[in-house]
Amino acid sequence: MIPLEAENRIFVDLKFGPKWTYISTVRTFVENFMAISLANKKKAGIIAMSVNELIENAIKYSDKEGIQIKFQIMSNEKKIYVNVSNHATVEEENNLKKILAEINSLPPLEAYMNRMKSSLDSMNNKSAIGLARVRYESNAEINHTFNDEGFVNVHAAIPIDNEEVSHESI
Amino acid sequence: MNPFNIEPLTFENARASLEKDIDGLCLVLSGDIDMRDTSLGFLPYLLKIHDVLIQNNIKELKVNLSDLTFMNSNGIKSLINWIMKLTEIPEAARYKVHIAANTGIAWQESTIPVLQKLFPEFIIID
Repeated sequence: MIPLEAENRIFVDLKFGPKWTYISTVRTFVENFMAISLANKKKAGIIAMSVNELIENAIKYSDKEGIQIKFQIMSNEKKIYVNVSNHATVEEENNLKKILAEINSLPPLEAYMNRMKSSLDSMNNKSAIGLARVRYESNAEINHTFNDEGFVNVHAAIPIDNEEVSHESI
Repeated sequence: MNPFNIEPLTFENARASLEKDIDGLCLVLSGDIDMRDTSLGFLPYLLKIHDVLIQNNIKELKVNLSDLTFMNSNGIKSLINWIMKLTEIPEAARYKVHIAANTGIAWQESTIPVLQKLFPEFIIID
């Protein structure tokens, strides 16, 4: 979950319909936003890639309109929290649970390479390389929750160095 | 242009073209590869180039990614599908893929070395 302490000032909360064509616009927005907030511009690209992959997953697995994205830079915790939420069936949530358990059980590089190899067995576009990629490229901790209303929330906590936060943004 | 008359392909936010330069053939990818289904345009283009390389006994292909700003995991899956084809043909018919990556682009700096680690016999990072 994203902490909601009052002192957190750098955050975004977006909601949009699950349309694939919006993803590149959201990715560009996130990269531009992060480029202002982070001194390390490569990190901005990694955050944008991470958000892109999490949104793509949310759209692939969503069974209703509406994807919600929240992200927050917590310089005191040296983390960026990304939360992507979508409505999903119990079956899809179970699949996600299995994939995340597999990915999180291995070192990030090994998990990424495993998903790359097993992607060839996937006949649709649900190879789940994206989650392993986010974990490897951003060093994120990824987990998820599923609530009574059928919303899956995927949380990624991405570590940053203090010097990566731009003082211009605070 | 190239001697095999493979036309450049533009798909959504990206472009792919096969070009001939003094060092040989070069696949140039640019833009953002972020399609939902890369098996419809991108992968067939890669496999068409693969077939041409095999038919003409070409042993090296350069891949220029310097202007490829983004590739989603579907695009990465297409690259894996393409390189896997090399494992299905006799050793004598195989070619090497020399990737010129742009280390100023974060995803390339992290993911291209992973692809090379996955396919060390086929991918060389220049």
